[in-house]
Parts: sequence; C-alpha cells; structure tokens
Amino acid sequence: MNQLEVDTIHRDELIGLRRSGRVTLVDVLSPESYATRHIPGAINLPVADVTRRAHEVLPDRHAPIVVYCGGPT
Amino acid sequence: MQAVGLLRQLGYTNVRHYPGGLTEWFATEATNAGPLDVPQPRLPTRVAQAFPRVNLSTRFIDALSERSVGALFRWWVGIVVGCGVAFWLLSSFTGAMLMSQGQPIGAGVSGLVSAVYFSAVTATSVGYGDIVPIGPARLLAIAEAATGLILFGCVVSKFVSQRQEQLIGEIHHIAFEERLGRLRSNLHLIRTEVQAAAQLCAGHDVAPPEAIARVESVAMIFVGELHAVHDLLYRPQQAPGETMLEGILALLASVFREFSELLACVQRQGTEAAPLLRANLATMARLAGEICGDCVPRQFAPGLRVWMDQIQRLAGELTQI
Repeated sequence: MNQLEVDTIHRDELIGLRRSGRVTLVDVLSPESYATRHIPGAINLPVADVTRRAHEVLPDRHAPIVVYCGGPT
Repeated sequence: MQAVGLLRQLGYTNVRHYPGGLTEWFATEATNAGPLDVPQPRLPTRVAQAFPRVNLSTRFIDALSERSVGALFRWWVGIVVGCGVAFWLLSSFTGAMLMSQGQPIGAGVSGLVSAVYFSAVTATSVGYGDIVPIGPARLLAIAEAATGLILFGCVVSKFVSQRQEQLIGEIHHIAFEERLGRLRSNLHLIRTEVQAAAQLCAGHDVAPPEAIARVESVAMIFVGELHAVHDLLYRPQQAPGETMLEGILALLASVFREFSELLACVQRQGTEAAPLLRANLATMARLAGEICGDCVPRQFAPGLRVWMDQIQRLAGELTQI
C-alpha cells in the first residue's frame, strides 16, 4: 500500500493525547513482545489477528486509534 | 504500516500510526509523561529561547547542582588554604608580597599562619586591612576574593534551597495523605447515596423521578472520584501505601457493584436513562476500563491487581446495561 496515505503522529502529540485520555493505543507486535514491554495503556492486537479480532478489541470504529510497532526500522 | 491499512479496510476512520514505536518511546522514557501525571515544569518557550541550553552559566549551575553543600564547602576551604600557601610561597621566594604593619610577613610557620589568615579574610571579602598584599600578590588576592565570594554564595544558597526542597516535599506528602483520606470518605458517601437511591427505586413499580435525579447526581460525583483513583494509579511520582490503596480499590469495586444493581433497577422499571447519566456512564466505563493489573504503568502487589481487574470487569458489565 502507499506509505504516504498513512497519517502519522509524533511522540509529543501522542503524549498529549494519552494525557487527555482520548485515544486508544494499539500494539501490533506479538503477545510475547507485548508481555515484555509496551507503552502503558496500550492494548495488544498482533498484525496477524487484526482482521479477526479488531471488532472485539476496538468496538468503536470512529474512536481515535494510534497504532505502533517496534520502531522506525 | 500494514495494520493501519487493514484497520482502514475494516471501516475504522480515525487510525494513525506512531512511527517511532517502542524504540523511540522507551529511548526517551525519562522525559515521557504518563497518561495523567503532573506536567513537567517547563520554562516558557520565550524564556527558554532567550537562554540557549548550552552556555557557560547553565553549565556552571548544572555543575553546582550536582554537588552537595559539603563538597562545595570543602572546595571553598581548599581555595582559602591553597591561596594562603601560595601567598606564603610567593612571599618566601620574592622577599615581600604580604606586608603586616609595614613589615613583610616571615618565612616561618608564623608567616604561613598569617598568609592563610590573610587568604581567609580576603575570600570572605571581609578585608580587615591588617595585612596587605603588594605587587603581583594583589592580582591573586582579587582573583581569590571574586572566586571565594561566588563559591561561598553558592554554599549558602544551596543550603537554604535544600531545606526548602525538604519542606516542599513534606507539604506534598501531607496534601497527598489528606487527598487519599478525602477520596475514601467520598467513596463511602457515594455508597450510602447509591444505597438510598436503590431503596427509593425498589419500592415502586415505576422508578420515581426523584430516584432518577439522585442516580444522575450520584453518577456525576462518582465519575469525579473515579477520575481521582485513575489519576492515583497512573501517577508515577507518588505511590499511596498498599493498605490504603487496597481499601480504596475494594471500596470502589463495591460501589461499582451496587451502582450497576441500581442502574439495572432503574432500567428494569422502564425509565429511559437521561442523557447526562448516559454521558457519565460512558466516562465511567472508559476510566474504569483502564484500571487493571496489566494496564496501569506501575507494578502493584498481586492483591491489588485482583481488585483492579475486578473493577475493569464491573465496568465492562456497566456498558452492557
């Protein structure tokens, strides 16, 4: 898919959003990685499970969601 | 980012990607703020721009703040003694550098004592004038006076600010304890109110309007207290005692249970929930949904985690009503 279509968010803005509590953070790494460490407050939804489980862990389709993975590699 | 695309395809409209990911987040963790913790005190941008980060005075202040009062004082004493010895050596080698009543101080032990005495009088900027420097010794005396004065000022200010910091810490602690106590008694009051509303509700076929009003107002207060508990768990700076926290969490869980029973009663009797109540319920569910053993940023004792998980579960049930 086209990389340019993805809206990105910077760390500072993310910190602000987390503080206001109006965002759902989604960790798309494996459950093992999530167990080791994750951004506090994030929920785990591995990429492989997105299609199957998205509707149960993210019931609101219009709520703000921020997705992250390992890092800028 | 594959997951973002997938979520978009599934109909999620407001999805964004944080490209920094775990690496960036944890690399800069020291400066991160938790979801609801106290904002870090920061200089206004204009002030920060007027004093660029890397300059001599900033570095000087940083270096000072890393050292203890004792270390700074030892430095000061070192300068006094060192300069005294330097004056004495200068006097001994060149004949006359320090003059006492028109006579050069001697080269012996009494001369050394006089030189150190002169050094101390200079460094404290007292300057009795009973011993005076002449020639190149004047340069050293002025340099010593300037350095000694600055350093001594640092010792004094550091000493005072240490005490202040200690006092501020104590005040914070007292305020925190007070807040915890208030939080607990508020939860007790809410519980009583919930029980009273439940009684009002139970005696009727159709929930009377005053019962609905009471449920609405108690929900509003409850949301406020829930916010305080949420804040408490997500605040990294101050941790409440375990017993205190367990009491609060247990109380919160029981209020939650009784509150959902009350809601069930109100709804069973066929009364449409008021919009204000709905909004408060949504906030309640969101806040409590973030209270669980694994989602709070700190590790708590297993006993506390059980209570947190229970609160999250009760919140989940609340949304289904």
